[in-house]
Amino acid sequence: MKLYTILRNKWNVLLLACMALVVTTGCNDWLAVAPDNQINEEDMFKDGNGYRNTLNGIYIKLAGTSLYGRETSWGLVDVIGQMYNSKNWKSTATYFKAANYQWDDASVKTMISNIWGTAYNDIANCNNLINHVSVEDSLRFQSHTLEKNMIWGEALALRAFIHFDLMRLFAPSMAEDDKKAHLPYVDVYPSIATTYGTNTDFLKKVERDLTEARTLLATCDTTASHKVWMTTNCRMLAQGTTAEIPEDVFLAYRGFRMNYYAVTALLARVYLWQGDYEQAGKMAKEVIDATYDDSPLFDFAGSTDLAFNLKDYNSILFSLSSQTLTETYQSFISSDSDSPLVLDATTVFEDSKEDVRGTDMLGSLGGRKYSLKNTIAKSSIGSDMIPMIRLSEMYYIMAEYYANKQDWNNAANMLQTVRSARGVLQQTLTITSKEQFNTELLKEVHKEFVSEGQLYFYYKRLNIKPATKALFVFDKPENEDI
Amino acid sequence: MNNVVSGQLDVSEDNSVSWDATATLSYNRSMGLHNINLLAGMNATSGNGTAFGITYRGFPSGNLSAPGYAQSVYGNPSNSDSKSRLFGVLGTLNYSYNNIYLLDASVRIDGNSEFGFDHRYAPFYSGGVGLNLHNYEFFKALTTWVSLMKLRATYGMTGKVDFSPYEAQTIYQVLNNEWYKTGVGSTIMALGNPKLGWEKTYDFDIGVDADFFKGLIQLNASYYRKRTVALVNTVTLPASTGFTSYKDNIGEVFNTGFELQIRSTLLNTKDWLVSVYANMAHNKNRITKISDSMKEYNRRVQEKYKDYSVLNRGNSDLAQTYLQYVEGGSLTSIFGVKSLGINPVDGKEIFVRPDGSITYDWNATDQVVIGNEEPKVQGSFGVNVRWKQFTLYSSFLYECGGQRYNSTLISKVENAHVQGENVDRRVLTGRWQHIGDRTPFGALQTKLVATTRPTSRFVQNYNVLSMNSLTLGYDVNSVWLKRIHMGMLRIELSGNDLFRASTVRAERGLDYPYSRSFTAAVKMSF
Repeated sequence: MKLYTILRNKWNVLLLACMALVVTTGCNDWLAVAPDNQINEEDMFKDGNGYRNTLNGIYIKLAGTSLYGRETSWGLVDVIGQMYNSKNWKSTATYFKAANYQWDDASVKTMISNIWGTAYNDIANCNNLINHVSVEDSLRFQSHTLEKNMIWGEALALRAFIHFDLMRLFAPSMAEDDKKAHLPYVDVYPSIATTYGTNTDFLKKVERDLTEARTLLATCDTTASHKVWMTTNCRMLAQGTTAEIPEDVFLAYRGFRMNYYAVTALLARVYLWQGDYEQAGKMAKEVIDATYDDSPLFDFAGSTDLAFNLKDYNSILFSLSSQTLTETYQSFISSDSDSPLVLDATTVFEDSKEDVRGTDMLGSLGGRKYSLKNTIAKSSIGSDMIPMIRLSEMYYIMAEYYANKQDWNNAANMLQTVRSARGVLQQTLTITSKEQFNTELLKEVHKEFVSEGQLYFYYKRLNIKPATKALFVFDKPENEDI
Repeated sequence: MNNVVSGQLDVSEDNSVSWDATATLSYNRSMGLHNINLLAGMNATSGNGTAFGITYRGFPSGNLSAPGYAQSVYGNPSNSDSKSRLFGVLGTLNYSYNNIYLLDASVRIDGNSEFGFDHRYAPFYSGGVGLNLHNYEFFKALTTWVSLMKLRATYGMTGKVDFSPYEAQTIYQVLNNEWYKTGVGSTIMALGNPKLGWEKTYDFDIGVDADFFKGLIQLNASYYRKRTVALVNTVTLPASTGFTSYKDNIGEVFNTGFELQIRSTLLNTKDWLVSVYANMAHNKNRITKISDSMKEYNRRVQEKYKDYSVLNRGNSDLAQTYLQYVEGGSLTSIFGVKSLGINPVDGKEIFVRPDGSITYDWNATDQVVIGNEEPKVQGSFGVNVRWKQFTLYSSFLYECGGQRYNSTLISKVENAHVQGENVDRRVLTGRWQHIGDRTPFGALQTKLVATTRPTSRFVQNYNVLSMNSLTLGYDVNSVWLKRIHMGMLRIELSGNDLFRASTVRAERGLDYPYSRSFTAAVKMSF
């Protein structure tokens, strides 16, 4: 009854009515709160910074341990490419099972599902970024058209890059192509169902995206005013005079992003996978011949410097970056590890005293050798680099281009160029047949791409088994099913 | 070289502030035989939480362990943050006339910061009428043995949102733990579904509450029809979409059923108390509408069985049944191909296609509803007895009318691997061997055992009766206890799942042994 008496007072009624009015009208804003580190899509792409963040996010995910931070570079992919000597590994170790191609083992299965899941999630991120950037007004970006093209081009290139590597893992090589559809090329967001494509259809889409990306990125990385950003100091270290390096960190470090030359080199890799030696050679040559100020844009570090420049960042066309790389790798080169990543150094480097890669670039673990590449002390130059595409690969592609024409001399020369850069000057190569060429090529690839996840794909493409029971196609992962 | 840097200190801090403000205004009035009860109110709550954690490593000694002595900070400091706000207004009305006619109505509008912008507010309402028959004068005159006889009917709408904001819109999460060379990054949290809406349930309920002979028989009965529209459910996705699941409104579901409860105190004297109770419930669940995402899901289920190649034929996953969502079906349907059993002529299974024709080939698209796990009726009953200081409580559970798919029978008998593992007798006796054998299982397979895919042959009726619990207790005389200054002393013996009978013989083996538990307890208080 007390409240009823309050109601009878006119003033109180008025006051209550006012309160109700204030509360209901101001409510929508009052309810619009969200945790600090979550932003909805509309707010995200309201200004250019959101575009930058989303693009960076895609690179960060790529550098995670499920993908190039471990499994698809020096981890699983090198393990199944028989990069390492797995004889003394514990039989319970996941890498031991993987080295023996036990795809149905639960822990190997999880690893494979994670690669698939993380990669496609990153592709979804690419797709949504492309949705937005392709229709955005270039004035929204701080560096206008340059930045718009850069973000757009890189997103397209990343989409193709990730898809292509998934295909190299989950579909048979062109030599073993069964014309079946093995995985989907996803270029829409959002999607709740995906359509699988055959190798040929899939590669067409990879090529389409890369070609488009290349056109867009040409406006950022090859123009007279910006080409300087591609030089080693700018590209890898963001060092140089104020006139040379961009003020904005987002525009710097082109070597850590999908730049024009990275895309060109990737196209060379894709054409080679298809067996299109002409196009592959053409693309590789463009990268090798690229110059700035009359000197080559990409070159090898001097062989005597390799002991300090373990990643040879001078010759990296595209690298990812992870601050935790050294730490992650450390546990695999310790005596406690159940699968220490040791190499058959004497066999791999053919007992060469000259090859710096077989001497200065190796460490010792209880008499066994391991690669020092990922052991650079944290925050020293190169410690975070995960090389994705190197200049040496372009020479190997040129070598295959010549070998395809049975021009053994030039093919040998191309291989020798990389060998010389690594200190192998005395022992030269003479090649006389395709079989011999392939053997020599595989040897070179094994030496050059230690812990970089390329060897397996060379074996697969050439259809040469690295081990008798080697398998070249992953099973369709469990998370793809219901 | 181990332990060069030793010692670790974790410091974490959690802060949370929340408040809740409620204002209500009520109005009660009795005017003669009219009784009115009005209430209006609003409610706002706000919660803010932050958590911060940091790890230091490397200390000179156990005594010098303040953060200032640490050699380094290990990893990134962790930081998390949560915010939520809620606002609601409500109004209710209760009206009764002479305590015979009853009327209730209520409205409530809720706003929540966790819902997407388009669905920030949700209204709920309900209304009901009731009739207290026993308060009519003529009724009172007519019967003396009815102490309560109430008829009631209610109708209402309730909404439910059990999804997070990032499931209803595309939300980016800032990856603040690791920066890329060219700056901070962010990534999509989940596949946000902007079309996701409230799940609404329209509920109609009529019932009767009665009490005869002052508590000797108490009865409650009700019948309901419940329509749920825009049912929210998690839909699994192929990982190649970038995500493994998302939330969607998967369609409309209709539930009808009744509930019945009877309690009776048969005897209540100084030494004896005997009471019995029983209840029974029936529910029928029917899907009336399905979304496109469910049709896509059904397609993927059928795809699952597609690969029956020689290499994959032995894959035991193929024996698993999956729920499909079809209009007219139920959320508890069992799907498979209808079977006529094993052909006595050749030991092969004969399937019936939806069009009535028969075939030897199992086809994923021929799958139909072959059973339903939902029981026709289920409930419990029990007896409670007290005699002097002894008490006995018992309760039984029952259900009948449902079905189960007996997959154990497939893995252990039908698809037994005779060469590799031990098998039971039925592998020998229940199999087709010669022309004319009428058997539940097909011919014995050796080497590669082709998996038997979902078939009605393994659907079994599921009727269960179990003794859920039995408790025997003894209370020590309180007069006697007082002398030793105790308040209560009770000795209790109880057992769970003492008895169970089922029409589906479940082989539990060593994997899932049947658990029967016994407890002895002494309870005392001073």
